[in-house]
Amino acid sequence: MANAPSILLVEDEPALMDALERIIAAQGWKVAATVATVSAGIEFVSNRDCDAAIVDANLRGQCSKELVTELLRRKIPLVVVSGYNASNRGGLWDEVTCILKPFDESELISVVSNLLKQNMQ
Amino acid sequence: MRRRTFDTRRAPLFEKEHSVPKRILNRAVEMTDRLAFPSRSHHWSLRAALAVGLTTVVFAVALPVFVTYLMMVDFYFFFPAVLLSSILGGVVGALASVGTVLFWTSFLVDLQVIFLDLIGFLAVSAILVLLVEALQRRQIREQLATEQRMAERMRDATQIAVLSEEVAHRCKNLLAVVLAIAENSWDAGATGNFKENFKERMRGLARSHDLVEKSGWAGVSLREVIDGQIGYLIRAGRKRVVLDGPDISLQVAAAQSISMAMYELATNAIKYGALSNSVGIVRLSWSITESHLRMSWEESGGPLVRQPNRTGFGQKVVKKYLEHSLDAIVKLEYKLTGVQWSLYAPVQTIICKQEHGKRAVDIAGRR
Repeated sequence: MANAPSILLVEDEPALMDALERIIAAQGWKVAATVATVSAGIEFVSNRDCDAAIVDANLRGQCSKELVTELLRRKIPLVVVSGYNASNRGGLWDEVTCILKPFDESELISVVSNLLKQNMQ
Repeated sequence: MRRRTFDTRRAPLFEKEHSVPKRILNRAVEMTDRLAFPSRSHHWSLRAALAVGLTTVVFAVALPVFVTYLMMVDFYFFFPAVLLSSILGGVVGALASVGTVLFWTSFLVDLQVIFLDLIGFLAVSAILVLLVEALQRRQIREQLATEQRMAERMRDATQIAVLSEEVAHRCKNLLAVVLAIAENSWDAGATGNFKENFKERMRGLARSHDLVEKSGWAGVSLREVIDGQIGYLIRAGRKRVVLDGPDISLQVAAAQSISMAMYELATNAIKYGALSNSVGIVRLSWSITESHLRMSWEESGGPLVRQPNRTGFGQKVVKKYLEHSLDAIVKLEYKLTGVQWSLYAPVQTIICKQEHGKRAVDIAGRR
């Protein structure tokens, strides 16, 4: 791919980040950056660009809502990966696509592909 | 002169006030309270029963008769005023209204003539005031107790909610770690057989999880983390593993990452490094400053070390994983004389400063 889409990965658990990187690389996509905290994520998007983001709902004990809001404001498509199911999430992520941990590789790929397609249009 | 300040939370009602009138008033109110509203939770003693019976007789029969007889109705008219002012203005209000009554009456009648009526009036007023005061204090006390109970219940509920969220999060992450370990242990290039590698790593993970659970999901002792992963080496190896450093209370994530790294470093040392022969030594030391934790694993006396030609799971755990989860700088060098590993991490990701309850409330407050 000449212009591989770049994906921002936000996840605090290194083993999961490792899995995400592998999945992204296998698709021929680029990893824009790997960050583990809300503040690092916000710092990245205010300085650099990316085509989509995969964001863990809970980063080092902190809710990642602030980062999600910032991404939505910048119109960067994103998917939230969460450890809790919808019933105990309390409508926090109503506006965004969510997938549950532990996620299926193909599910993640199809969700991110859709995000990228929507972004192109 | 500096003004005295009271800690209003500690002594809201009966402050430590040393003026004599205040002390007498407080004693009187306490006694009225005890007599008029005996605690329901206590068993009635004979004396208390007698006291209450006597009080009832005095209040219900003797006093009204006495007052009516003595006062010939005159002062009755003032009781509503005394009652109202004592409800609204407390003891001071009641004193003011009694004072006013006395003041005006002194113009109309010779106080000496109605001396007995006056005493009766003052006595009944005093009882009224004390009863009102006791009731009000009792009410405030109960209100404070209720508020405190509510606050405690709220705090408990928030704590449980936050804790269960964190447990859910960590459980899911733990599953991800297990998946990653399985995948990497399965890796074709990995040495040894999958079953043993996987089983051993699972046991290591379980040991670190035990510590986390034991700590109540709060501070985990670094010494216990180390002991959990390599304690058997220290006890068996006749001083071949030397530890040097203070005990530190770790955050849960730091405990897990460091625990996994210790396991991988030790496994590598046993298979290929300083602990694979009978003379090699491992020195594990750490120190903490205001801002950083510095930790190092230094092997010596083992067989000559060769740079591995592939990046295995163990290497990822001791370098990349730690760097990511702890914002750390990790150096891993395969020196000829032995593996040298060092970690330099900011205290923000390492140290557990608060007990869990407080932290839980902090997190809830941030939301």
